[in-house]
Amino acid sequence: MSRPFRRDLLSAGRARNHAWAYRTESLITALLILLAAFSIFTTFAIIAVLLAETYRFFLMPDVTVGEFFFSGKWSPLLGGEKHFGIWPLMCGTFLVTAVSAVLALPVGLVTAVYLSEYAPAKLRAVLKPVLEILAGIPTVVYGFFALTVITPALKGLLGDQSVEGYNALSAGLAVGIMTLPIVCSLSEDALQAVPRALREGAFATGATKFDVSVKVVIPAALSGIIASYLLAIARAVGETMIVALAAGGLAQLTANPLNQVQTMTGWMVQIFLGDAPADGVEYTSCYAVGAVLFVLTFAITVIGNRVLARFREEYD
Amino acid sequence: MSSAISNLPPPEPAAGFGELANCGVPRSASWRTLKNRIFLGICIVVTAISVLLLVVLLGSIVLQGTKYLTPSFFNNPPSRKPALAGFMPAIWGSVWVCFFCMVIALPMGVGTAIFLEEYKPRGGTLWGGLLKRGHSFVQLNIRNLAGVPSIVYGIIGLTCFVRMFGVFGSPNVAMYDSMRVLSLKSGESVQATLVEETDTAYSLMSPLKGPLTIAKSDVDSAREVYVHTHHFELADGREVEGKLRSMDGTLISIDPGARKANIEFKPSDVRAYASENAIRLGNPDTFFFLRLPLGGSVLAGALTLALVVLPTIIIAASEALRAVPNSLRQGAFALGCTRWQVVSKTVLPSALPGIMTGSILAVSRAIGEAAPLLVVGGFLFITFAPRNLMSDFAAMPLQIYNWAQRPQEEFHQVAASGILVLLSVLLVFNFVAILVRQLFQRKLS
Repeated sequence: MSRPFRRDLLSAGRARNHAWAYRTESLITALLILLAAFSIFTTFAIIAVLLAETYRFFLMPDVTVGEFFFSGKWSPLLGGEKHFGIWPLMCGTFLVTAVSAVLALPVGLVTAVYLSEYAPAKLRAVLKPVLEILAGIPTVVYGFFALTVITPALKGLLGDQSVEGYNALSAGLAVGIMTLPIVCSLSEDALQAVPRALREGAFATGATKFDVSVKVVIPAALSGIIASYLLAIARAVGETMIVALAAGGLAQLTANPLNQVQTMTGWMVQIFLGDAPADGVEYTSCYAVGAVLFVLTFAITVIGNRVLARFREEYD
Repeated sequence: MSSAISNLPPPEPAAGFGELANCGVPRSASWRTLKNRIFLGICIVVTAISVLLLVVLLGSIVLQGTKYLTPSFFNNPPSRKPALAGFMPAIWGSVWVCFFCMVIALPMGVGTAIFLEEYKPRGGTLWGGLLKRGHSFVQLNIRNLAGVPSIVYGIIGLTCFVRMFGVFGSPNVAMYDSMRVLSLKSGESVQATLVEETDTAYSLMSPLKGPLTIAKSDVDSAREVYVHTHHFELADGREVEGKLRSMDGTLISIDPGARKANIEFKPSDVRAYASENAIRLGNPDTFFFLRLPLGGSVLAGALTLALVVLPTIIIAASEALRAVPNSLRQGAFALGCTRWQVVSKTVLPSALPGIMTGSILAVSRAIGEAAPLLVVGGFLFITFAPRNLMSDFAAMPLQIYNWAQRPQEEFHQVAASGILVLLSVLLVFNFVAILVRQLFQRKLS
């Protein structure tokens, strides 16, 4: 590879501008450190704002810390007595996340194994962009899909009475479709990182492709696969627009995915779009719910990234 | 310790190894090839389902969306009549917000990436050791920030940008800052347009133009207006009852049970800000207008979105910088270049296509992001493109959400049209990204 002669580089190095270059250098280093510090600042700002507002929420009448964490009743808008127990919202989030995980985790892994171990190169070249397109679709589109296609399909399949117009199942399925590309592409990266030697060794013992995939490649890539699962689950927990459109608005403790539920993010959307006055107790409750959401997703992401970092060390 | 080990039963050969060794035994060869076939079948079915899902998704949207996809859809503001509903303010809102989002996020993201990749501290001295610690912390932190749900960024934006911690007035007032409800106080007259629509049929729409005087209203504070239904008596004798839902005086809509009326105000009608402490610079009618707190404005939305996409840009730019061969850096250093000269004159130009690809993908993320904008701006019935950074805005995904959550079937079709527009924009961006990537690859080879 030949590169053109760079006269500007030569002049840049000349001693003529030594002092000037040195001054620019320290100035720019300082600026870059400042920029990098901003990311740390953002994290602390998130934590500080959530903590401060959550503290304010707990000081309000109608609210106690005990009720928030241990009560199963969330009924702030029903008039009369207000109850702020986070569990119904958690239940909604868990239900939607569970449905999405049941869809996305196995399907994502199987697709990844297929892409990595079985698929011919030409098919791979078609399938990868399809997954990239799926990954690039805005979540509001998936929400619309859940509402206008998945829910009617479920009603047709399971009967009109048993499925509510808004339900956790259809939202969960849409979230699953949304997280599918995350699982698939990250798992596939992990599978691809497994050295060829391991595969060839297994093939040499007479193993079939299935044996190699399931008994050699998947165990070797397990940490990467687990990381992809955790990151996908974190995305599902924090997903907002799909559940706002398709999951409904009734916070209840239920294990039936055919019922409507309200997730933590769904509650925030309802309040920020609705008529609750700023500074009111419902409005401030969003910060407490947001804090719980942040802690939950941040923990999952941190664990996922830890696992991912470990898997990277193995084969680099 | 040693006794515990000696008490253990003799180690058996590892299970995995045994199984693997058995693989070669012809005992169950046909069963194993069958298993392999079955698994391949499952793989193909599952993968086909993924592809089918995409086809069904796009197909259903195209089927629903073509009906209202007319030229007027691009020129009209949203309307209560599906046939007249348009995407214009949402398109322009997205353009404004995403443009300024990138103006903010791109330099910051690329700068951080340069620090992470090109200015790795060596350690050694106390200061260097500290820097090194901070360096790896930032790197870890950014990956974790990328996993924070966007609605959480929305809340942060609401507190930091929209309300600015209430420094410029109480949060309540700051939020509804411009509600200047203001002009609706008894006896006051404003230049406005009253649009009346019947609720059920969407058939009658008779704009009444001219000065509109509110004769009587029971409005007295911004907060009350926002929460309760109110009773207004218009100067022409009609009475309307409803809620005021706008956060900005440019538009106030009254939603009564039987009748609906929207009253539009020109920015020049703005009389006073409810927030006494609010800082204003310039004329609201011009491009150069700034007020603090930012309120649910374009700037607040752009800043919040910048927080959302910053980790994506940093990660993409880092990868692009890492892909630049080290020999280029060493060559420049050998010529006596300082570190910044190396970065700005050799590394950055070579990494530029990669950075551009990453940024384009980040923009497309920003365009499709709804949750943070929803928290920052709320959904407003906005009928015009933003005028300046302090304007209220609609955005494509927000408008789609608003249409999709309505019960009427027609609005679902309008939403599908909106989705088609949004997806086409994203497709173009992705296409450009792929093009840039390919040009880059050709250059390297």
